[in-house]
Amino acid sequence: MNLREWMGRKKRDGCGNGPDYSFAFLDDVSKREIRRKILKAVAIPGYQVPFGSRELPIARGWGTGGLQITLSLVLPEDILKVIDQGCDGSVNAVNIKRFIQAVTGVRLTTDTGEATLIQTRHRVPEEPMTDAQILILQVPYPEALREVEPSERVTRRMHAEADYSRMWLYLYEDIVKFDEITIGYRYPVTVNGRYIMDPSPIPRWDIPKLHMAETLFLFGAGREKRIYAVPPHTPVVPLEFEDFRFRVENFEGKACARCGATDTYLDEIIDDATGRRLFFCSDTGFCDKRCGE
Amino acid sequence: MKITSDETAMQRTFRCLLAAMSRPGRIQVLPSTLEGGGGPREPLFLVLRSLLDQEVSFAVTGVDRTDALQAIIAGRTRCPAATIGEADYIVVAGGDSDGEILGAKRGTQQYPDTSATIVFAVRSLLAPDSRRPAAALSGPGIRGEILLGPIQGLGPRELEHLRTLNTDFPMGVDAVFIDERGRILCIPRSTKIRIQEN
Repeated sequence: MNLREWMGRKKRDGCGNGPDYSFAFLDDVSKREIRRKILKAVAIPGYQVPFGSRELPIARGWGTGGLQITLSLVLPEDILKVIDQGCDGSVNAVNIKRFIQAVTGVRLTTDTGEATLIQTRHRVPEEPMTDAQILILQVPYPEALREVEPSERVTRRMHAEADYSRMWLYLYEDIVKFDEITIGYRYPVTVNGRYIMDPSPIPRWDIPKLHMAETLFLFGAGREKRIYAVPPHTPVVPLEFEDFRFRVENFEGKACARCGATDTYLDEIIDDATGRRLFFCSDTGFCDKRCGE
Repeated sequence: MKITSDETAMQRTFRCLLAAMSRPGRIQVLPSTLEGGGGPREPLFLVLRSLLDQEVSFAVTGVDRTDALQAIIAGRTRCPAATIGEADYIVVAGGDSDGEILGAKRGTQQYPDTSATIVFAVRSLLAPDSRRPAAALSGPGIRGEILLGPIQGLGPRELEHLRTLNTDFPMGVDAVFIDERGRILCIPRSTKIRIQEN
């Protein structure tokens, strides 16, 4: 039985009310816990709040953290956009948005400006977001210090004591070895001058968009059972040295082969037939809008 | 799909709370209450019902504290009552705890989220008045600084108590103010409170 058939089935008792589950799928107890944890996360910017991640009809590691946050706060009148690495049409994004629509009835869009809720994997939309919108990021690995410390008990102590020397050393050693900080995505940031936070696997390009933004950013890691947040107007500063500054990806001299944009994050595509390298906007909704579609 | 108006009311209430917590000092308006006549306590009950259940605990303090109020909250939320020092949610009925909130749990350095949330039930939240602001707030969620309007029914020293509780960030408490007309405002622990001298 596929999702659509399941949604349309009658209750066994024959009263015709459809499948017997709550609005937005999750039961009330689950929603209340997630809501309580989201409020704590907002009150302590960058701190990872543990939560009891629920089973969902998609596998853990495929966006269940973001999905649980979305389901806990979505309203019937919301307009939802879901993107996967910038793309509105990828399998993961389409499955998630169809599921949310099936259990809430919300309207879907690919237009960032029109959406009230945006759930995303690995990108922040190019179009600036407003204070009327919420961006929900799916997070595979919430712990920014995991690269330097495998133990959760120890990283929790490090966060408690703001002992981030090993993270700084990691960056320093990178510069010594490669004359470059080689972290391409999940670039660690300091939130509100206190916690080092994993901004999820967004490219460096998107990091400045988190800084003093108008929008609320909520991060959900379903498999790792963590929720964290960056409220609006909060300083989000990438780790950098005085003599070795953070920099974003360089697309100088390149433009989107479709819309001609020179100021967006570009995906590199190799044409199988000709072997030619082409660049396209990673944010397909933004590219479509520029093309007038 | 079975949508009940109560379910979406809880979701709406939470969105309102989330907006208030992520933009401290800004007044938000709760959705209209569902239950009957909508007495002055209905907005408080609506917020508590969107957050409380058997997984957490609550305490009631304040000048308007009564056993009946505690029983109503327990009955509507199925949330167990606890002492001030143990409660996850502390309701300050009448807006004046007379210093009792200073005993609220503030979490630990490793788990600052294991702290209390203080819910002040006050008479009226008013828009900021530059001639007589209660305080100025700054921090995450606030562009620059925001003036906190007069809060009618809030004890004269409660903001000072909040400041005392929140001196050791990330440990601290988060405050929610709810008035009788369904207006809410939040001051999380990350907010710096500058009390205005009159």
